[in-house]
Amino acid sequence: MKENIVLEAVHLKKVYNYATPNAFEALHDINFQVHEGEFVGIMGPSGSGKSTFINNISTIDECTEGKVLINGKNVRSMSANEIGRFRYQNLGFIFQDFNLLDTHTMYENISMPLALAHVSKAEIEKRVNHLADELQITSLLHKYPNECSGGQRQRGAICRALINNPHIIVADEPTGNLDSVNSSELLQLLQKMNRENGVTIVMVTHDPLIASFTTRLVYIKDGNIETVLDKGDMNQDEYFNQIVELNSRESREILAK
Amino acid sequence: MIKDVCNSLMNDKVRTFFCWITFTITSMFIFLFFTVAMSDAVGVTMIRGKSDIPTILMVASVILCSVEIVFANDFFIKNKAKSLAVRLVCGATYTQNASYLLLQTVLILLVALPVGIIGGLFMLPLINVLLVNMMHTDIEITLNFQSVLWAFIVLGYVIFWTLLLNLSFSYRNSAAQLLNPNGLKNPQPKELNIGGKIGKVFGKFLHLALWIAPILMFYYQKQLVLPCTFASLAGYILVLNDLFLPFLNTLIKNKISNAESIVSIGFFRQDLKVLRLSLMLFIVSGTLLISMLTSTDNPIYQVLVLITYISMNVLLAMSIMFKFANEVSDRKLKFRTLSHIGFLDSAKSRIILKEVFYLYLFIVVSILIYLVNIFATLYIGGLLTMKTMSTLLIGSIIPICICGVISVFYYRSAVLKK
Repeated sequence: MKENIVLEAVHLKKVYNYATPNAFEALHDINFQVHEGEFVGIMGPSGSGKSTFINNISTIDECTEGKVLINGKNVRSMSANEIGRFRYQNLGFIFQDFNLLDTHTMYENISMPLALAHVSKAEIEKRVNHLADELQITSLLHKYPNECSGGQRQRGAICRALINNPHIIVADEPTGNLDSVNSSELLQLLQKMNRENGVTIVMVTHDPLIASFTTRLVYIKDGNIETVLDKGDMNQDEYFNQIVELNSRESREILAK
Repeated sequence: MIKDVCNSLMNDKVRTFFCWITFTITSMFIFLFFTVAMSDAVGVTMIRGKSDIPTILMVASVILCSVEIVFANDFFIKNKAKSLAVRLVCGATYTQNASYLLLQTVLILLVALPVGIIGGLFMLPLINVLLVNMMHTDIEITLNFQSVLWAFIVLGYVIFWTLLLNLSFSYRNSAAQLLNPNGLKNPQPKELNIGGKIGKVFGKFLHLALWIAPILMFYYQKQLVLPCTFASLAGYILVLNDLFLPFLNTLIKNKISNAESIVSIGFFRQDLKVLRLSLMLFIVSGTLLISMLTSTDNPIYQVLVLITYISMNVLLAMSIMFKFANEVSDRKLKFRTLSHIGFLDSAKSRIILKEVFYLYLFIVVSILIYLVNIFATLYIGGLLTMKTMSTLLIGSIIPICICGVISVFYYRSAVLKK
């Protein structure tokens, strides 16, 4: 199965304020693999290192020690140009705050990754309209993000993340600013992309219900991978109960102290 | 409190420095202006003015200085919002927060005032050289007590104005507003569609005519330069909103396969929406002062107008720069998003350069459209020499260009710094 590994962290260590008196080790010697077509959830208490971890494995941040391999290639050995190219060709990011440029219309925001990939004007128009239609945001394309609701903005952000048909989607609390209806719709959409298009998804979340949409759950605590939970043959309800139990166990341990 | 204030000033060195330099230039200008205006040669007194020009100039400069101070102060206190919010949450009262802000401004002013006045003293001989060499007079401006006194009174007024602004800033903002300023943003204005497609085309021509016709009027009636400029600026805003901004939308659409162009033109479009009023103020101030310059033969009045013209251009160019800096200081997250999408640091650097270049080019061209036409009118009428024209032109364009260069450095440090 080694050939199916799309993302791999080997002895990953992240130290903030490295070589200063305020040095803080956020991640300790983490080994982690993501296989092609997986939907991985990252959970953990606040300050456990979830976002640091996701930033390090997705080229946003650089690890202090160890290495990150994407499609077998060490990120450290990639030049700035290669990383940039790699991002718009392979990665799609979805964030809690949507991170759309409010100085640009939705259409312009969504077109950016395609423009970076030197796609022609006609092809951009075709692909943006097609995906916008699928995500039901065609009527919003010429609006600015601050004229749209949270759910509409997140759809715009997803549209931008998907427009280049990325192999991996990295989502950092994508439902954090959405109501329950929009959260559920977003999760179903991510699940559909994962199942039907084989897109690999790595998603950080706090919510056990949202985590139950994944196929594997990685629980991080104090900068270490504490538990890994595989969905396997469980149905979503059983998987959800396991996740709740895992979270409760961790909470009970803290209370016992 | 004093320690907190000093820490706050030191933590934001760039803004503190910009604020200090604005106050210094303002002090220098006001000191110089009053020294010339209240000299024996001009003879303005505060009880009864001898001439209209210096009095109008005085009012105009105090108003323009105040506007400029508003922008500089806004730029200075914007970054303080979070620390003010934290102080409010920790239980600080309105008075404590206001004092915290006031103390910072007062400290900057205390350092700026003496430097400005000493700078003004050094500039005084230069004005005398200007009077002898350029205006061919034997008038000498000397320092007098009354001018120093009035310069301090006006500076006191400007300080009072700044303090009032800071007080109102801390009064009108609750902790929630300070922590979440984005929640206060207004939605984009809706486009009106009256008379369908034909109406739209006719409207565009009308706006263009409203902008250009008053400029052409300069050539027929030289005395109407100022009212015509006002009339034309109304057309200018309409052209900007209904022709130029939609043109930029179309340009982005046509260049949609060029990632850097989409971003830089999009940012430029946003800058124009934010800066249009400052630009209009620049044009009005320039036109007003040029009209005054040509309406008098008195060389000392001309020198006074010239000093005001150059100082105002410097201060207004700085106010444009501050407003722009305010706008771009919120763009760090946007540039981080660009990195996530796949933009390289080199591409982001080029985006900044292009955006600033487009913006300042637009400003320079807009100013030149007015100045060149006014100069041509006055030159044809024999009211302006080539030498004065060049001085006025340089006095307008150079400050803008310098502010453009500073903007690039500030923008880079604000958004690209890791």
